[in-house]
Amino acid sequence: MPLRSLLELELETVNDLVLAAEERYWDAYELAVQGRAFAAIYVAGFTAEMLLKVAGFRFEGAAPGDAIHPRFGPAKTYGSLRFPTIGPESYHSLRFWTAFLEHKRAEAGRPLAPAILAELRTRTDRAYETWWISLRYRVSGPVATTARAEMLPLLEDVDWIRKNHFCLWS
Amino acid sequence: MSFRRATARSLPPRAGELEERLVQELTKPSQDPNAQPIVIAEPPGNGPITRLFVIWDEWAPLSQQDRSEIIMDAYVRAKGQADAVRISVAMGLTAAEATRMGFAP
Repeated sequence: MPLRSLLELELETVNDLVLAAEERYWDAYELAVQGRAFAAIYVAGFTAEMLLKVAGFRFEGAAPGDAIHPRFGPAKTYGSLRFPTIGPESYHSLRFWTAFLEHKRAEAGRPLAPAILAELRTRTDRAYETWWISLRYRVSGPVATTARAEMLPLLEDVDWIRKNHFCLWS
Repeated sequence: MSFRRATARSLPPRAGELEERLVQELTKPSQDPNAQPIVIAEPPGNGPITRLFVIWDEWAPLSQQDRSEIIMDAYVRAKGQADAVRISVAMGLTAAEATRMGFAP
């Protein structure tokens, strides 16, 4: 059976995203080691996106085995009402998922500790300036120098999200 | 034959019609408990609704993401923004999918 048919048999769950995020991080790391900065950036961004999504969903009560797609509609509606200037960018925006987590936590009376929140904002803002989903349609050649300069900061920011993921949603 | 400029991804053509019918069901539920769409709201009891499951065979050609967005668009119209921001799950299921998930027919 083709890969797509195999994978589409089941809906993606919260836990699938956690595991995929870890795989993509190490894929990106390998690409970075090989000097493929642009590709490393492209792949690493998905780790940040998935972990931020999961943090928001876990905070609002999702279990590891819960499907993620039924949460997209409510997340989009919530964002359009609570932080309408930040678009979801087809559910890939790092800023959107950071704002989603931040607003959900604040509304529940359990905001992140100020130091963690400040760090999260700094890192996701910086990552957002490097990565967005439409990077896939861009050619690396003309921006190779910039990509090389931004690759390590992005990997560091993504690694920070990985290492602090539990405290983002717990 | 027609020519038009492509736009950003949008909901499928039937989304508006499905949303309209869902708004009707949410505002004036059918008296027939087996008539689709069947809307199941959780948690049980009188607390705020946080999860919506809509069983409807007309979901079949639509993606899970489209179903979720249509449910929320209808819910905002029927119940208002204050109730809508409490929702964390909006899941559209065909009858067969609902049975597989353990929702009693």
